[in-house]
Amino acid sequence: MGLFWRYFLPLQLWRFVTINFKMYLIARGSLGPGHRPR
Amino acid sequence: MKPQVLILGAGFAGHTAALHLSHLVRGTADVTVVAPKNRFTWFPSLIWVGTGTMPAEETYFALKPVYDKIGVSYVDARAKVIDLGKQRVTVEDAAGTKTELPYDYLVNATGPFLNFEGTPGLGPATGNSMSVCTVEHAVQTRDAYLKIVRDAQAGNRRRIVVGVGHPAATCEGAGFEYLMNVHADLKRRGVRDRIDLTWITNEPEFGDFGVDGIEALKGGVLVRGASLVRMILDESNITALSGAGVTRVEPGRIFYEQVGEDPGSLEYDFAMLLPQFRGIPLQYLDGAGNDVTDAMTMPSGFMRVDANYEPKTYDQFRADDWPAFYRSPLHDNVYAAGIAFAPPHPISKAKKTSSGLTVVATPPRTGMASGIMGRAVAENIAQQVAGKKPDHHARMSEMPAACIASMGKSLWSGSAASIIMTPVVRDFARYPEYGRDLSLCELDVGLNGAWTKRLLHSAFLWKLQAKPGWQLIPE
Repeated sequence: MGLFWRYFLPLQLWRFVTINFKMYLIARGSLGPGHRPR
Repeated sequence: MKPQVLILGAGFAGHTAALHLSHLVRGTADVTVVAPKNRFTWFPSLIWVGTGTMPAEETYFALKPVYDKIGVSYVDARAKVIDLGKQRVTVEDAAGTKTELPYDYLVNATGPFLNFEGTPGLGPATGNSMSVCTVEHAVQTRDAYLKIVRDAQAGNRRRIVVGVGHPAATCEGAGFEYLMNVHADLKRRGVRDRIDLTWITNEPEFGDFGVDGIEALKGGVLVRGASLVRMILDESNITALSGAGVTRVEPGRIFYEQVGEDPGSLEYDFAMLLPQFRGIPLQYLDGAGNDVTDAMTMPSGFMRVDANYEPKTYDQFRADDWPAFYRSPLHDNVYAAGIAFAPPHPISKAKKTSSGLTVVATPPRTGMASGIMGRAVAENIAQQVAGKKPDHHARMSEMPAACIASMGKSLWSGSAASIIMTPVVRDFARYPEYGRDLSLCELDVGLNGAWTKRLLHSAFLWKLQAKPGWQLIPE
């Protein structure tokens, strides 16, 4: 349980935040090759 | 009289176009949506309905109240005939009553026709195989699946086959999600060891997903979807066949041809096989009563747009073969977005079996890609209404796509593969090495993906119901 709280959960939270932030920036067109849906 | 914008279909592309047009042309044009059943379905969650882990009611909402709120007219009917000369669409409601609707700008976002008939014996109507393509199908699938679970709980051994049911089917990702959710659900119920689970796919290799595979850098090391999916299948003790085209389904037996192998068959007690997609049958007229359907559509029934439809082999595929504006080359006020537009060619490599049968994973263009297309089309129509030249482009070879492939719904013990690819269609002119910008690609498997999948379910149902702040959530 100690390992879960100390390592696994923080890692998953970090991945959740970073992947979703990256996905958000790409989806809104801030990152990427320059499609212009908006 | 204001210009009339008519949108046929209210899936990801049509509904997204309607949402954006509702404020882009507010006061300058009238927007009408034609779609049957008064329902928007969040298709990505139907895999959970099909395993009995989510009530069907959580995957859809009524469209009319949303359109009433944003000032869009709604007609509960299906489009049947498009008269391009007279700029009128004949629609038919559930009672069979036909009505003609005029348009100045038309968006064909009618989605797929589920071609179960393309494979003899396939589909819920035959009672042989199941599908999770509609709410009704997913509910039927759930009931059949839970019966198998009860059999297993009673101590019987059962065989489940999941995959695609046609050599040229698409949406392998959705099939894979259903497979992994079945695996997770059977484990949770303690009967996984009594079920033989098989994955059958037309992808040339596992993890192709109809987009010519995926890859990402993890700590500077290149990780390929093919090896990741192979590892997941092995770890989950799932028998898997790639490059396989299902040719016939009979009660208890699935027949297939496989690239590089002899034809074979699989025994099953429960099968969920996704059908081939074709264009919704629509008749196009030229205004003088002449049928111009062949000029407007490809043999697949999907509508031709500004793509390069010259026949090509895999090595000749180019990024700019893909359409930028989703507009008919013959009528500059007619668009097709989402699944309704005809892709110029596959993204993945097509292969042939020993009998000459072509097995190819056809291009997926659901979800995020459809939403982006819907938005681009809305922006372009708004420009045309304002008398400007439309310039909003969204080629699949320049747009990103994110896919969260669920492998268990639980927020505590679930998992999902988080996949980002930029762009969807490889562009070797821009990115010579892999055809994609690897700094903008992602491939991760873990509990965090299960959280993301749940977040997307809630966030998009919020956005698509036009609740406060919906514009802040990108497609």
